[in-house]
Parts: sequence; structure tokens; C-alpha cells
Amino acid sequence: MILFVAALLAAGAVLFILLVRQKDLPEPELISPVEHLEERKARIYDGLRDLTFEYRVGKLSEEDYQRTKAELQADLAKVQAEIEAVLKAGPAPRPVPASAPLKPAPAGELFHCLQCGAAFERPMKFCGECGQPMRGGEA
Amino acid sequence: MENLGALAILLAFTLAVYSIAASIAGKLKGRPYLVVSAERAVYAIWFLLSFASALLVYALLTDDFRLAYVAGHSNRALPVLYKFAAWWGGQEGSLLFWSWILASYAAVVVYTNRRRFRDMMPYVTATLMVTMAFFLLLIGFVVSPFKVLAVGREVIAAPDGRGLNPLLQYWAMALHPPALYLGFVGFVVPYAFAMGSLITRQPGDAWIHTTRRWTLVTWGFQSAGILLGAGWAYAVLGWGGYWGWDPVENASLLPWLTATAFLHSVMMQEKKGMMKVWNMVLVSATFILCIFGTFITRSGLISSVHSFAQSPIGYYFVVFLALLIAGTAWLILDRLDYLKSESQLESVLSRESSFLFNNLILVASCFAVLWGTLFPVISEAFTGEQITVGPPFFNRVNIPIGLFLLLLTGVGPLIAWRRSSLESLRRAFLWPVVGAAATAAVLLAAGVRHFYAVMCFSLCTFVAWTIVAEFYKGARAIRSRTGKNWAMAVVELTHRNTRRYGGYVVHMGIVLMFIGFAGAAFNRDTTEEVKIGDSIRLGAYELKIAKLDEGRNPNYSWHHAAVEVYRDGRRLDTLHPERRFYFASEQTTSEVAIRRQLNHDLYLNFAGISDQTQNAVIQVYIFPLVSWIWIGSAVLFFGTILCLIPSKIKLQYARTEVVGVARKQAPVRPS
Amino acid sequence: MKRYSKFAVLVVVIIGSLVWLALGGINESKTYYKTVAELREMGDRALDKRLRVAGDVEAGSIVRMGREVRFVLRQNDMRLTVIYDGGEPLPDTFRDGAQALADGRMSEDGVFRASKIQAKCASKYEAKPGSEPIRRISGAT
Repeated sequence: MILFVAALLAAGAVLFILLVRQKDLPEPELISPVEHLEERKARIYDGLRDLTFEYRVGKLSEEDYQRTKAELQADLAKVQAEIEAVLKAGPAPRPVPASAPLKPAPAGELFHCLQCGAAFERPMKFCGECGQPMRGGEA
Repeated sequence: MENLGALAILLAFTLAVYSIAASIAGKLKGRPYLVVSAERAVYAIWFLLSFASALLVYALLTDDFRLAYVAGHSNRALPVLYKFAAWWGGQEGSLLFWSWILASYAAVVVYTNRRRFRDMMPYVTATLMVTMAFFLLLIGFVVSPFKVLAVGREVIAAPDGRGLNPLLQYWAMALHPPALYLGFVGFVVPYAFAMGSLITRQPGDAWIHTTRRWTLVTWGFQSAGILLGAGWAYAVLGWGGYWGWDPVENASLLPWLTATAFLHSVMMQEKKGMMKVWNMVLVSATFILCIFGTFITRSGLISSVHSFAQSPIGYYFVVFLALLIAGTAWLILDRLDYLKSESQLESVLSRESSFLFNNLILVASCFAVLWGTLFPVISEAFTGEQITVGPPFFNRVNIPIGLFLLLLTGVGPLIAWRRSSLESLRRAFLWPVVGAAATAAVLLAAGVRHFYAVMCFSLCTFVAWTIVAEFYKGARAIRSRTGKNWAMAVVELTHRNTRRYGGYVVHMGIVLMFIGFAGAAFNRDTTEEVKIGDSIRLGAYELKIAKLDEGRNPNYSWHHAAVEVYRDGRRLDTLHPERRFYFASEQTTSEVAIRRQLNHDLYLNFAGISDQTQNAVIQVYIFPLVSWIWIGSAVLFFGTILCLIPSKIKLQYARTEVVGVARKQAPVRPS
Repeated sequence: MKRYSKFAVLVVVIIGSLVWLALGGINESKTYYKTVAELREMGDRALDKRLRVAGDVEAGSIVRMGREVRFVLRQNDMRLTVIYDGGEPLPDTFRDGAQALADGRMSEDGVFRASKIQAKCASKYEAKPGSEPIRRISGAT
């Protein structure tokens, strides 16, 4: 009896970890190359909102408020410039996430990314593999 | 049956090793199949360990004394709750419990991130599984919970077990290890994400944002574990103390100190992109200290009243710790360029500066406590003599540290980033400082001369005032805009920014606890031999011994006193201190009688029977303000929960003019 | 770099004060850990130091005289008479045969005057070792 349960456990564990089907694999993430910069931008906006609240509530002097606001806005401009630089920069393609399997090309029309060559079944604005803007190339 | 349990553990160990290999291979060779397979192994490990734990608990609940562990930590007469709690009552079982918690955390982490962070998740999984493999190695091969008692080749069953030490048969002690473990084990998650982020050089601070809630919950459990232990010590041990600077107590405090520092310094990285190297060091140090604490507690390295026997697992821990420290240090040093700071410190009078001092002082305290705890080991290595240092050392260093920390708690939230003008400082601190000075003046006028106590109360006033002012100013602004009443305005205010205002509530809890700590400066006590009819006087109390009796039952024999409490001639209460001797474990316990009030506790301990006169020896203590420690703890947890609630306004893009770039109104980010 | 110098000065002051406090605390409380045998060896050198002596409580030797408690600490064949001044109640784990630690000073009459007693908690994490009390780690298993 115990032997049976033991065998069941061992077999179950081994089968569970080995029988991974194609559809169990996660879909490739669409990571925008500027995602972390967008997050940073959101946080600066958060900080600006906080700052305005603190000023309204009377905690900050006029001098501190204006100075900090100017600094935050300068930060914002810097981040925005960085975002635009990355989007414009084009081919220094991001390393493809390792877990993104290259889909075999199905029959029919395909849309190709001009930067890295990956193919998709529908027109995309940003390539799902390298993150660069696609220029709507057709097969 | 125990063979199934042992098998489950061995199987889990194999899967853990497989998971490490598969994650790393899958990542390096670009095979997502292996990565997913490794993640499945994590789920399988959880299942196997749940199965093994269930077997052990079943054995405990059904009094299966064939198992050495059950015989060692349970007995037939033990109440069911404590039979269950015996799961973590001894070395092997608690290591299994630890492993099960780790497996649960790992499964949750892997599941919630199964579609995200595909770049670094393989390394996160691998880090989690390395830790898992270590603990499974211990319970699989070195200290198995499923060992059976045997004579020759036959398995025997003991007639009854040794039972759980009656000192531990107290509700707080049943909860204390689970809370502590949930806290200690939990820190592997931020550490794993930090390592994953470091190895893959992730842009941005995703590892911090993702683990913010984990870190907070873990910290909350750590705090709960430590405070439950203190509450138990106070109510059960009979000497009215809640903290003795014992090595095992210190071992639980060390990671809490660095975790608190980490909770604060990540705000610097989030807002200013500073302290990146430092945060890596802190999160690693916290995790390493968690493992180190486990090591001290179980290895018998340092003698302690909690001391457990010297055990072979100590050497395994040393090796594991050495590998962890070496690996982490190499990784951080190798990627220093990736961890470059984005801003710099500008002024001593700034929020950055107060965060830095907060970190400095917490780490200094951690270092001092570590030094004091390891002093016997270090002194022996260098001088050949084993020297211990006691509470005077720890108190001398930590009391000023605590007071400085209290000051920073008031200053930090109110001071501006980068540079604070004197005008802002005046607005923020004028009234709180006045309040503090007034408190000091009142105390001094009342004749209080204890320096630290006066400082502590003044600082408590200072901090409390700043916190109340924050809530008041914010609520007033909301009221003027929305017309809500005060209570609703405060709720609205908190909901709009739960991190900030939840944090204020936590700080308020700390203030209340410090009030409780300061009360100890005014403790009073007396010890007297009494017979029926005698009276003891302490403070304003007169305590009359109304009854002294004794008896026995199958579990224990007892001595009991009924003491009537009088103040100003009026009878307030009757207290019943008792002393018991448990037969099974040959252990005496005192059932302390406490009369708890906000201003002080009246604490009675039946210390013993005098050998010469056969009179009862009763100890009476008055502990001023000690209940504020427990009240403060409750406030602290409430605040922690507030911090976890999502804010009403989440990362919306404000409509604000951006200087230097074309005016743009970015869309609201879907939450 | 001037902004850093103000900060550096403060850091040095804080750390310096803490180190000073720590050293004072060490001196105030440092206690030498000795077994009964080692204490005997120390002879007169034991008289001026704070000591923590480890041994087993000899069965039947515990005598309570008012607040004071007198007992004998044993290690193999060596005995040490200890008088505890009763400042705090004895720990519940203190009884015949328990491993105990007595903190205090040696007096000239050969009696050890203890101001604090600890007895080993009936441990959760198992087995009591043999006749040797909990000891230093170097070399011992």
C-alpha cells in the first residue's frame, strides 16, 4: 500500500514537471523599451502632486515650493527627452526575451518587422520581439 | 507511513535541485520549456511538503509515539492546540515547517509572475530554490522529522511522550514561531528579485516595486513575532521583563533592524534614484541575517537561556552562509556600474539626509547588537577567554540610538527633499518643539530626574505633535474643498495616499511603544515572605494575603495565593498568583497575576516557598506605562495594514505643464 | 565637496559617541565565562573579575534562607558553593541536576556570591548533552 502511494507520488511529480505542452508556455511579453522610463515619469508626476498638496496645506515655504517644483519639472523634461531618444534611436535592438519562442510562420499574409525580421499575423505598431516601431511592412 | 514522509522530502529535494538547473539552463540556452518545467517543480515541491507536513501533524494528533519527534515533543494529555503546535515545537519539525512556508511563498511568487518579468524570473526561481534545497538537505539527510524509535531492527513506540514544555503552553507562544517564520522566510522573496534584477541588469527598479508589498508584509510578521515573544516573556516568565538581550532574542532583532532600514531607504531609490548599491547590500544583509539568526538559534554556538543543544546542523549553516555572502558580494561588486546613483546628497537639512541618518543609526544598532551577541565567540578567538557582555552593554548603546531614531521619526516626514529652507523648518517644527520643551519642563518641575526618561517623553511629544499636525492640516484642506466632516476627511486623506498616512500611523505606534519603554525607568518592586493575614505595601497599594493553599492534579501540583488589592482603603480586586510543578516535564512555572491599567500594571509573582519557614515568597512589581507597549503594537499593525491598501489615486498623469517639451496631456494609465 | 564634509563630521560624531558608549558598556558588564574547574585554577586572579560560572546543580543542595538561596555547583568531582542574593526569583528551570550559570564574584572565603542565576531552559530543540555543561565552541563538537 505504502509502496503504491510512494510510486504514485514519484511518478506524478516527474510527469508533472516534464509534460509541458506548447500551449503552457507563457506568451511573449510585449516589453516596451521605454517602460521603466514611463514609470519614472509617472512617479515624478506623483511627486508633483504631493508637492502641490503640501504647499496648499501650508507645510512648505513659497521658496521651497517653487524651487522643488522647478527641479521636478526639469527631471520630467529629462526623462521625456530620454524616452524620445530611445524611441528614435532604432537599431540597437533590445535582446529578445529568452522565453519568447519564435513562432513558425503560418500560411497566409504576414507582417514583418523591418528591424529584426520577426513575423506577425496582424499589423502591429511596435514589434513584439525587438520593441522597435514597425513601419507596417507587409510580407 | 513515516517512510512516505521521508520519501516526499527526498523527492522534493531532488526537484529543487532540478529546478535550479532547469531555470538557469533554460534561461541561458533560450529554452522556455525548461523554465516552465522548473516552475512546475516549484508547485510540485509545495505539494510534496504539504503532504509530508500533513503526515507529521497527523502523527502528532494521533499520538503516534513510534516517531522520535512525536515522542520528544508531545504527550497524550496535551491539549489539541499544542499537539498541533508541536509541529514547530522542535528542531526537525520546525525545519519542516520553515520549508513548507518557503515552498508556499515560492509557489505564490512563481504563480503571480508566470507571465511577467520573463527576463529575470528564471534567476528568481533559481535563488528561491537554492534556499529551498539547503533546508531540504537538512531535513532530508541530517535531521529528519520522520525518524523512528528503534531497538535493534525493530521499531518501538514510547508509551507516552515527553510533552511540550509547560512554559510554552501559552497562546502567544503557539503563535510566536509561525509569525517569526512567516517574517524570516519571507525575506527570501525581495532578495531573490534583487538578485534576479542584478544578474540580468534590469533597467528600472521593477524589483523594488514588485516586492514592496512582500517586504511590508514580511516586516509586519517579523514585528509580530518579536512582540509576541516579548508579550509571552512578560506574562509567563515571572520576572516582569519583556526583553533580556538574550542571544536568541537578538538573533530575531538583527534582521528586523536592517529590514526597517531597507523599508525606508527604498523610498530614496524610488524618488531620487539614490542608494542603489546600498539597497542591494541591505536586502542581502537582511536575508543573510535571517539565515544567520536561524543558525545561532539552533546551533548552540552561543550559550543562552533559550539554548538548544549543540547540533551538527551548525556546520551546514556556516557553509551555506559563507556561500551566500561570497556569491552576493561578488555579484554586487561585479555590477557596480549598473548600480550608479542618479542624484547626490545636497544638504544636511534635507529628507535624503534624514533617511541616511535613519539608515546609519539602524545599521549601527544592528552592528552593536551583533557585536555584543558574538562577543563570547570573538573574545575567545582572540584572547582564549570567553567573555560575555550583558544588558548594560546593549542598553547603553541602544537607548541613545532609539532616542535619535525617535527624533528622526518626527523630523524626516516633514523636512523637504534636497534642501529645506529655514522658513519651511519653522513652519513644520516650531510648535512640536515648543510642545517637547513644555513636556520636559513639566517633568522636571514634577521632580523627575531620570535623563533618558525626560528625553524620551519630550521626543514622544515632539513626534506625536508632528503626526497629529499632518493629519490635521491635510484633513482641513480636504474639508475646505469637499465639505466633509472631520472623520470622513481623515479617511479620505489617508485613502488618497495610504503609504504616507499609513506610515504615520505606524510611527505613532512606535511613539506609544517608546512611552511604554520609558516607563521602565520608574519600576518598583519588593519581595516578601508572607503567611495568611500579612500585608505587603508597595506604592499606593496595600496587598493583603487572604488565602494560601496548595493541591495537585494528574498534570501538576500547585501553590496558590489569593491576594486582596487595596488602595486608599478601598478594595479594588483580588489577584491569584500561582506556582505549578508539572510532573511529566519536571518543570515549574509561575502563573503570574497581572492587573493591567493604562498608567501601570500591578504584577504579582508567587516566587516560591521558603525552605526554613514554609512561608510563601511573593514578589510585587509596579510597572508604569507598560501596557502602552502592547497598545502601540496594535497601532503599528493597523498602520501596516493601511500601508498595504492601494491608494485611491494611482499613478495618474497630472495635467501639468512640462517645461522645455511640447505641451502634452498623457493618457491616464489603466490601473 | 564641502557639502559632504558637514555630513561626514556628523557621521563621525555619531559613530564616535556610539563607540565610546559601547566601550563603556563592555567594561561595565564584561563577564568571564568559566567552568568550576577553571575557576579553581584561577586562584586569586578570580577575585577581582565579574564571572559567570557553569556547572550542574548538585541534587539536594538547594537551601532557601529567606531571600538568599544557597546551593552547590558541581562539575565532575569539583564543587563550588554558591550563595545567591535573591534579587530576582529563581528561574523556573532551576532545580536539582539542572545545568546552571551563576553570575557574580568570587569572595575570599571561597564562596561564590552570585547576583544572577540562569538555568538552562528545557530546550525545545532537544537532547540534553552529557555531563559537561554548555561550553565554548572551539574544538568541542
